[in-house]
Amino acid sequence: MTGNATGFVDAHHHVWSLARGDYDWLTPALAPIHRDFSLADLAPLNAASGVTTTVLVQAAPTIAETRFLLKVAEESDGIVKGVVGWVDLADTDAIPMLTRLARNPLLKSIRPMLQDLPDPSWILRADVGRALAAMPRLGLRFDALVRPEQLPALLPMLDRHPDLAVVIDHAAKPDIGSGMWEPWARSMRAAATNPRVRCKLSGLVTEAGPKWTIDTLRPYFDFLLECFGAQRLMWGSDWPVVNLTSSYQQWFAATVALMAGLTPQERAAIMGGTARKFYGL
Amino acid sequence: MSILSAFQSHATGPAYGLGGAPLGNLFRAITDDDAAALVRHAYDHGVRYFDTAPHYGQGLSERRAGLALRDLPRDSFVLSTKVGRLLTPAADAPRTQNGYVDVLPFVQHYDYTGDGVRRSLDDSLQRLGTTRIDFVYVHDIDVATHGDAHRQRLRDMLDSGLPALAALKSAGAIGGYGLGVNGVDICLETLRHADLDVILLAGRYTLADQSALAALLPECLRRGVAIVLGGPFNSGILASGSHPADGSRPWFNYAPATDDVVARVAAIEAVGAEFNVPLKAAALQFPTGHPAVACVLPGARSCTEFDDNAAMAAFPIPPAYWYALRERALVASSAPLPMLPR
Repeated sequence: MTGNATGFVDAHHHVWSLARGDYDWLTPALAPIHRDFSLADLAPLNAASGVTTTVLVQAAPTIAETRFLLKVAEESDGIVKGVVGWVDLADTDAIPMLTRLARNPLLKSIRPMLQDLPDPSWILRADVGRALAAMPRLGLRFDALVRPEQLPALLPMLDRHPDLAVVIDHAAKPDIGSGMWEPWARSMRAAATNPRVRCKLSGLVTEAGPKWTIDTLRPYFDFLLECFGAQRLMWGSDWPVVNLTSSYQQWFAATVALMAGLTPQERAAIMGGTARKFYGL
Repeated sequence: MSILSAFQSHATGPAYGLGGAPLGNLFRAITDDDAAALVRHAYDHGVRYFDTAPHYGQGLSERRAGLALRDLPRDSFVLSTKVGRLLTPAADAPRTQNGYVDVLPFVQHYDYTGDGVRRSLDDSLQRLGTTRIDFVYVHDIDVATHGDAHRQRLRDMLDSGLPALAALKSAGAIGGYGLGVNGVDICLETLRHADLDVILLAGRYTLADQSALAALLPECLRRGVAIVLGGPFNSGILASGSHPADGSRPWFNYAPATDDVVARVAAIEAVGAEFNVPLKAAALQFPTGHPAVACVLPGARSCTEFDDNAAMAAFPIPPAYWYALRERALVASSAPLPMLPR
């Protein structure tokens, strides 16, 4: 009755084709990832780790990229079962655009690139609020790409939109490399008290910097597990961004090591169950 | 293992379990072979939570569930049974008791004391043929069942029954415990005096009855008490519809449905017709919208019924349908809409 889902889920990865030209943040300074990445590059990594289902996430603030990702998903032989796209939620045409895009059942969620917006409370603007209010009815979730300093603004947004399902990407990117704890931990704990909020176990090695070890990550992992529980944590590779400080394989192996003390059910939730439920894969 | 993760299988979707009353011949007899086939069929289709009780056919459901699950890895599923009724052999025991037909030759008497709880669990382990029961529910500890004796039995449970269960949990003999009831008030009253891990609540957070929404579910969420929602069809009306095909009066919460309930379910069916959503699909999915609900526990009396439930649980329901129910005041305005992940 619960379906025959087998295999792990990667709840967060990207592909890109630089020639498309809308990846403003992706400069040659980011040498390890400043080239094209396609599903063909990802396939052997999936196969080696037992991932059978993925969620493809936007990397450019354009409708064109979202349409590109939907096409990639459609042609993925059922590997990419969900797309997290982008719409300018402050645009006067945001709701018609969301409505049009949501006709494609592969579009599961919308991710404004909040971390790049100068106004930390952008998400609380009235025009943005109208678009957010329309999303649940369209079957759309919300991926919160935030930094720790943007978390406080997320809390009133959750109260204003009690129907909206929200996942915090990359655990809100704590600066692990500098040993950051507060105010990140306080804000994450507050966000986690809302049972509708999920969290992606991804991106941690990027924030930890190239010298990370399991021990660097463990307090953050333990804290997230305590706040959210396995049923609200979902693993994501964040490939190919993960290549900046690590690799898909190393991050996957680190996750397996971090989960060593968990029950099989908890591991299954983090490695697939939570994402399947959240995104409706 | 957290109580929530215990109810989740490795698979997708909200957790659905298999209720054990049909295995005890509720209303009509099924064969031992059919009972075993049903349990195995459910397991093969991803069900990892099975509930039973001594009450179901005077031990028959436990015996059948135990045998059918015997060859499966014990750690791969969650098993629960109930305490509060002890079974004793009686040569003149009626073949039909409490709605169960062709039952085992036992009579039951209530015992919610610590001694009763321990004996009941020992007996259940024997009937189930297993070494471990994951969750234990104190069964039917409510006024409707016990009448004048209710205060005393509640005292028995609070003074020694629940402490005995707490000790069994500390010793690792059981994973957790709570109530198995169909009333909201008894849950709230018990929670005022004791901590519980889980409540098997029949029919009180469904498409037709949201009486748990205002007080009980928020309290459970706050205290980390998982709700297993039994009786998602409220004794029938949410499966048969407001006007059953055979012309009979639909049943609602163990009695013929009143006119206002029939009218409300008919209005829900009208919305379903508009959006192409079967009533059963909405009934099985509605409770999963609330984050306190860990698991929904529909019964099935055959593999065919199980398959129908499974299809209805997975039926894609457009968000607009849920919004229409809310806007037409057919569900409580504060009920979380189930297209959202739990």
